[in-house]
Amino acid sequence: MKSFAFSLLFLFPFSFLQAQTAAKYTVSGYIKDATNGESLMGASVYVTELNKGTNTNDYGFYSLTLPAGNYTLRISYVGFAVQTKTLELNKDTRLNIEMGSTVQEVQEVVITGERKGENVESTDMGKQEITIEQAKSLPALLGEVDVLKVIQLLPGIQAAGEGNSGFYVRGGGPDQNLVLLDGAVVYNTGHLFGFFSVFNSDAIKNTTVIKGGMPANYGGRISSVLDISMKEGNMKKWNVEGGIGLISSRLTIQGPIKKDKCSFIVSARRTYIDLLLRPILPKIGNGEFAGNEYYFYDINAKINYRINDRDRLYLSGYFGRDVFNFGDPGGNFKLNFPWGNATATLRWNHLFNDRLFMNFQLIYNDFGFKANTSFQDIKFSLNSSVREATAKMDFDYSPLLGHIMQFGWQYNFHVFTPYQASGSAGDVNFKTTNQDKKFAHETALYFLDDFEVNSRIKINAGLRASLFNFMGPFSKIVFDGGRAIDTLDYKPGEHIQTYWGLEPRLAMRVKVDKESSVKIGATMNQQYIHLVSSSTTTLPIDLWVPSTKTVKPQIGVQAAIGYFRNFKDDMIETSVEVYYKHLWNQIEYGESAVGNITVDVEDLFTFGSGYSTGAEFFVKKAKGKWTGWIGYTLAWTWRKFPQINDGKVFLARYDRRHDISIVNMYEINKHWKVSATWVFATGQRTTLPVSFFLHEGDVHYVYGKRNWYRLPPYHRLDLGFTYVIIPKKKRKIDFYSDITVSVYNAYNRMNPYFIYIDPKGSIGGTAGTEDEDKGELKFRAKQVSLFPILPSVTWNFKF
Amino acid sequence: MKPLKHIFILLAAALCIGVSSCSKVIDITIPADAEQVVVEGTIETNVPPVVILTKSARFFDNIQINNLGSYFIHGAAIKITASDGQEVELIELCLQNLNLSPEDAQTVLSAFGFTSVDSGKVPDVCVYTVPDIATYFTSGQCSFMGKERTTYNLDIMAPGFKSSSDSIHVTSSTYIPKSIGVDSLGFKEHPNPAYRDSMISCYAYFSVPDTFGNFVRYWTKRNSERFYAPLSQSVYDDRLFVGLTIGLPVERGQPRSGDFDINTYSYFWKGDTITVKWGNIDNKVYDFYYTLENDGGDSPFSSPVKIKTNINNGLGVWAGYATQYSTIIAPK
Repeated sequence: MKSFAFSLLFLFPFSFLQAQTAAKYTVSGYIKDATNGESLMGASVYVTELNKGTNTNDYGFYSLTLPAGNYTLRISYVGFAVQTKTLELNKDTRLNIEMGSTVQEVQEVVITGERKGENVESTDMGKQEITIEQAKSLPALLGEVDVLKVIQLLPGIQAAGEGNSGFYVRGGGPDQNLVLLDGAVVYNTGHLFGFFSVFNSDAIKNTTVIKGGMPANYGGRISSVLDISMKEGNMKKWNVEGGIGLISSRLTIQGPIKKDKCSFIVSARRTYIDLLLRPILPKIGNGEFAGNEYYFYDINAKINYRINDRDRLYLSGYFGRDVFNFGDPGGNFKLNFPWGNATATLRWNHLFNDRLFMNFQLIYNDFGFKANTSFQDIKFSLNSSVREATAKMDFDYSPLLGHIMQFGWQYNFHVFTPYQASGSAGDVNFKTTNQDKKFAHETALYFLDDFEVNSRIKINAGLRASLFNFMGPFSKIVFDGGRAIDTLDYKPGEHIQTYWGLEPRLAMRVKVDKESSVKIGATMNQQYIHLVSSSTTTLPIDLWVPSTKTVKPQIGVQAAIGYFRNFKDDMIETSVEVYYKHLWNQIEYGESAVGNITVDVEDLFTFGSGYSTGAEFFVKKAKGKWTGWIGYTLAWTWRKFPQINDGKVFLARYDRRHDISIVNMYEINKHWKVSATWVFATGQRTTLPVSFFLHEGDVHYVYGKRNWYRLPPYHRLDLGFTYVIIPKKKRKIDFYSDITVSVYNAYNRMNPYFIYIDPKGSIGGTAGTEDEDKGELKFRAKQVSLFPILPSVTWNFKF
Repeated sequence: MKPLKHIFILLAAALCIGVSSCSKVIDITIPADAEQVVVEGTIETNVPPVVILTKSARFFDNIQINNLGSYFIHGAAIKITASDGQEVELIELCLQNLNLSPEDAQTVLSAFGFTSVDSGKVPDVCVYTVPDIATYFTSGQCSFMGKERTTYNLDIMAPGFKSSSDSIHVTSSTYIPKSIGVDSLGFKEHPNPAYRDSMISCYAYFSVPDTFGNFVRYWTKRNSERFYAPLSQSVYDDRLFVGLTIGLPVERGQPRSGDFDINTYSYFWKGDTITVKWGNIDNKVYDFYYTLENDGGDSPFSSPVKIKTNINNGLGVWAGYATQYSTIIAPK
């Protein structure tokens, strides 16, 4: 640790020294998509004469500081024709570049290649980018294109369950993934209990996932980062796109408010299962389903305003809701249950000079649910939320070619509202006790330096310092055996608990030759807010909680080593990564915990540690008519909790020994595209009962060791067919449309969703049933499967 | 949050296209699990203690009414000591030895929660209770009965499962709190007009003390039926209602193994004579039933719940109840 800090101290001033000893000039600017003015993040600017280059940052800005001279810049980006610019550099130069698409403008962008040698050149480990075009090319469950399901096809990332958009990364829990939408944390990523993600594919520009080696500019979670950026809005012309699918439809409108100055995008989506089922439900059975409905909708919107060449403002937002209404026909019980996220981001990009770029963000986000219920004349209203206000400032400084520094700070104010219930029984009102809001401040400072030591070695070293304060006002009654034994009472602003931590991050690339490199990485992360779920499906009723006196920050340390090699001029990229991850202060519900709105949820927790190790093999064909990848993961994930499984180590529920994904996309001609994905995964672990006992004439279960049973393996083939309709005659308005057919689970594998014990019959025999005269109770294990073969068709259009 | 979780499971079932085709019976190999002593013991105010001793059993031994007796533990030495110094050693009474008529045997069996369909074959079901239990049935009095604000320690020496010499020592303790019954019972009409002519909602009005730590379990009885605990949940704590005088609906109890009809669930029929048995309990008894009634198993929507027990070296519960009964006739 000491030597690491020392090397940072050493390197930082050294790099400035270097910057100032030679007379150099800077070429900088934004790289944009010529068709719509969208800035392109991660585009490559390569100086041919020096065999070196840089990439644009998240906002499309690049900066290269070079000795005076004549240069040829080679600019490339996925799906765009490579551009070459010659440059006589004798002063600081602004060079904004607009990239043209390689294919017809109105068609879907085809993946033609990635940044030159990026897989081998960068210090990134466990990092993958998914373009929305890739996501759209792949078959989708019920035709709903979902980036979260696409990232699950990468090695080291696994789905939280059948058809679920939740994910686990390298043995970490679902709350350990930092999911960002335009910089705002998304607390609940799933609609319909996780079957569909909240990210509308039409509104998304890019998705980056980092499953290990998290750079210091990211923090607050210990497993991974999923950074999703929204489209900015077409600066050139009006554009409408949408799709009509089996369960939902979507529409996006974007265009310039003032050409090349200000643009907007609005994208909306809504399901219509409720509308389709409304006339049918009363006719099912005895009408017991009448009045039940479910729908979700979401809206993404963004305005972007280019004030001048140095300043740019963005205002973006997301609002999504799931609504579930339920009632029994007897009028006994009624439930209105809306939940969802809302985020808003105000972003200011400012160029101090050609080398120093600033991004300042003010972010607000809110995730919450309400449950309004009535049972006879008892009315009951339950709500819970997590709200967060964030201010964040990031700087990118490019002192030299091949050298980028990033530094910044972040401040979050968290407000956690646990289950707060109020209700009335007749004229009497009641409300929950012990469910005070919890307030916390989280602050972080970071610095990272990405530099080339020499042509073989490149280092990305960083340090993040984080501080967390759990503050008053807060009061709590302490119970023991149901009796109140103490009351804790903290005044507003009073410090209740403070935690801090230093989080060093290091990644190093050593080039073996032109086409291969070895990379090593080590990171330490702290996580101060937590989501503990009693289920694999992250439900909206699961609570986010802060670190308190009882709940300590989660700490994760990960070390990885990888070999990266490209073949055939980067046409084929391969990598092998081996990792080990150790997690401290992990949180689970206790073995006897039952969720209860009157109990502070942290009193139901138990704490332990976890570790996981694995190897990930990845082969990707990045260019050509046929693209795709094969990923294989071999992994082990363990947990150890003193209060679970008698303190003995157990395999985590999502321990998965083997995981294979084969992804193929093939463009047959300009009309037809086909795709196929096949996944295989070792079955997940579950805890089944091993014995039973009788009590008051009923049978009750005694469970075996934690996660002792492994479900049968999971495998599935999905197929996708896209037919592009190209108008025969050129029209005034270019109208593009396609018909996409997806077949989910093509060979109808009855994959295990869960297993339960199904008692059949009864000890005494139940009158009027087939068991009446048997007097026998039999136990059977039943496996439930969720999705059989599911074909779907979607019509997409764009004009 | 149990009702919400159940709703999610319903929704998942609705998603599953053709529910029956989505599930299939599979074979699983269950690892060996040690048999444990299971206690089902009660001591109520003004009622002698009754203890049923069984043992847990491994799946997938099917249970038949005729071999029900094989789950019962015979020949245990059971002693109860009260905090007021009183103590009693229980005796074992077995159904087969009582020379009861088949009808009476059925009645006794149903009191345990079982219904034998074959009156000729009465299983070897046994209970442990006070030696002068007969006096209780004739006079309502006997040498040892539950009292309010008293702790009862249970000490069991059960014969070993493999050999009787290898005995198992099981202990427990329960407290009968002060009895706080319902103030009154009343009715409200069914919220759905379609059912108002036939069904009615029964309400209990009660005053909750203003100090935390009160727990209750209740049962209901229609006419001459036996008492049944409510299907959804039978135990409640006072966290939501401390210090309030409040009226809450009484859920009609019904057998867990019986048919469930969502249209009649929780309501009483007009004209019913309704008796509510209201038992104040201690927190450990509450914990036992609260965990027992909320175990949803391991599924994508829930985790298995290990049932909390107040039995040392065994399973089940030793439960003290301060009981009160309230009766009302539902208007026609």
